[in-house]
Amino acid sequence: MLTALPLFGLSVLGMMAIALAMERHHDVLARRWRGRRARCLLRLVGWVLLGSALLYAVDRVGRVQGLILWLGMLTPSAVGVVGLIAGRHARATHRATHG
Amino acid sequence: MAAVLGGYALATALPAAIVAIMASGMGGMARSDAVLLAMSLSFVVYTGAVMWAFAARSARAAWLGLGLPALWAGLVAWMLL
Amino acid sequence: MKDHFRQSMAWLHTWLGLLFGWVLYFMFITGTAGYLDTEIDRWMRPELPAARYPLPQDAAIGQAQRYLQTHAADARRWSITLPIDRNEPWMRVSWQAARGMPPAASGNAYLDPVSGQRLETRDTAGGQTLYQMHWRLHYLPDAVSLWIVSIATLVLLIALVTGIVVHKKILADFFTFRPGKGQRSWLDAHNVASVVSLPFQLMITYSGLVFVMFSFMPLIATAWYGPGQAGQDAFLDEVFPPLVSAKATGRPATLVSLQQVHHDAQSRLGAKPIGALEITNPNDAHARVQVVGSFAAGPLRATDILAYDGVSGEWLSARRPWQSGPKAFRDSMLGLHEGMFAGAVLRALYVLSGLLGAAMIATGLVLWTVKRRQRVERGRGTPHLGLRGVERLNVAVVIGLPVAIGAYFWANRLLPVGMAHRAEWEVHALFAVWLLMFVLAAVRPPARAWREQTLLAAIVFASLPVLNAMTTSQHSAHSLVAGDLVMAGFDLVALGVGAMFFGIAWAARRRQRQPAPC
Repeated sequence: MLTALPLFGLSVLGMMAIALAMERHHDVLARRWRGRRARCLLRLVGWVLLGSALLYAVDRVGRVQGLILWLGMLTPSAVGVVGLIAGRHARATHRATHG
Repeated sequence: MAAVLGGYALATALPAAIVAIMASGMGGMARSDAVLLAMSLSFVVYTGAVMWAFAARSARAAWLGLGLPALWAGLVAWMLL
Repeated sequence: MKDHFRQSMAWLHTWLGLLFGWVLYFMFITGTAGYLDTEIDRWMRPELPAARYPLPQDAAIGQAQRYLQTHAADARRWSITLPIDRNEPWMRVSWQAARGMPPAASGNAYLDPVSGQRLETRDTAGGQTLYQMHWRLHYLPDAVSLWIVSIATLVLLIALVTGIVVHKKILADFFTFRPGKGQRSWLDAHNVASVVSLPFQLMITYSGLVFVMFSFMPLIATAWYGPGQAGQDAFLDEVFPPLVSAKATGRPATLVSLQQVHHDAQSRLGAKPIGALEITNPNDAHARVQVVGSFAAGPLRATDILAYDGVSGEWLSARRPWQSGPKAFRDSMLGLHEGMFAGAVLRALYVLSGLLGAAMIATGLVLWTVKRRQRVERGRGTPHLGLRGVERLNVAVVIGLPVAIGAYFWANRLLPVGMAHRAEWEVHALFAVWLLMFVLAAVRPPARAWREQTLLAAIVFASLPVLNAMTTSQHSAHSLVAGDLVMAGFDLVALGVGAMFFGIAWAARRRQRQPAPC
């Protein structure tokens, strides 16, 4: 459990950053934070976070188990990010159509 | 389409293909290991073969594309084993 | 050129998915349930005490030997399984009768490690049967179910690969989910469920094939070992060489103290845990004892096995986990598939991924019907028998199966304890209820059927803790206080599953009342 939470946290943040760097989802961000430079930065940060998640896992439980744990953790992280982004899209649309 | 054809051709192509490649490749491997390795890889080949059969432009192309390598592989295997 | 390829792959993906989707859904649900087999076992055998492991093994082995000597002295083989993790939470002994004896002479029993007494439990199919249904299905001869399962697994692999090939914008569409848009949303859901758990799906499918590869690809062994059963046997003998070959001599001899053997094994294995002892020809001059390590120590599903002479206690030989590259590859695949090595967090991830796999299939099946139903509504086609049939089959399988499994748990609590063939009847209950779900799906319009069966699932599961409280003394509060987390956990999970189905039913009702946006 002690390994899992920081691992999950890193994964989610990493995925989130990568997701927000994508063109399709970039508009979820506030206007102030958009732009090509922001996207590059987000993508870089995202991959760095995912990489450190892997290193962290390997450091805590060994190479094989760490890799397996990291791969497994990608799934709930991605699910979480999908949910959050879908939620924000829905709220943005709601705000747009209902003033 | 080439459904029925694809299906049957594959069943014959696969083991032969894999076995042949394995047999020719490895010189000093215990035969149980060779079989294990060949079996493990066979599914990758099977998947590829099914996809090929359905992607082929005509039934004839499907048969040729699968039958010829299968025959060749079978021959190689028979010679080496 | 590329377009034709993608089109044909899409066609292949769709039809394979449709033909095998229901079988694969069954396998995913029973596989995920089977992954939690000992936890389900525990709930279905409330008479057992809460499991405590790892167990101090010395005294336990002594009790086990005493029990087996008293009850199965002339058996051909004994086996003592020691609790070291959740895979075998209670000490279990089993004995195999000599050749020619009726099957009833063999058996197994849970033992109390302190008193050596047998623990009496209700005759139940338990989580083990759910687990076995994953590859044996049920009511079918083994050979038939093996073929069905093998082909279905191969089909799944092809479906996964073609799915990846077909998903044009797999990178651009990552993280995309747009609810409330009809067909588009179902496609998104199908994509998300699949892509998010893709490493797991590929692993579980491929490793599943490795499980059955001996029967699925026997010709490969034939190429090296010769035709017929003799060739197959020779191959298997080389892959799994027997560690000790000993035929019974018929000369009686006293079996060595197993505790002594155990001590010697411990000194050889160091800190590695010991999972079981297998005794061949007990009380015979050619008795042999094999001490087996833990199969769940890591993803490699192989372990140390030490062989001993059963009369003198002398160490004979050992087999180490690593035999060769290809064998280790196979063992790793099996280990990853079974996931027995996983700690609590990784277990949860396995369960999540298994459920996502089921969701992947379910959303795919629904997507097929939604797409065609939309075509019908737009006037471009008639609702032919195929579409109507699939719509109904979808409900009956996707929701009906969980209802049936819930009924299975209900049967465990409701069937009288002393009933004959009780375990079989629990399983009959599962399939009888499932059949009922098929009938209901056939006679009700699909939209209503979805809501009704989902509500049914919700009620069946949410009321399990109540049923538990009414029929046993171990209701949730009691288990929590006593520290029996598995028992309490099952009740809570049942509640959660019920809540989830309530949520689905509510969402389905909401969508019914709103006209679908065009």
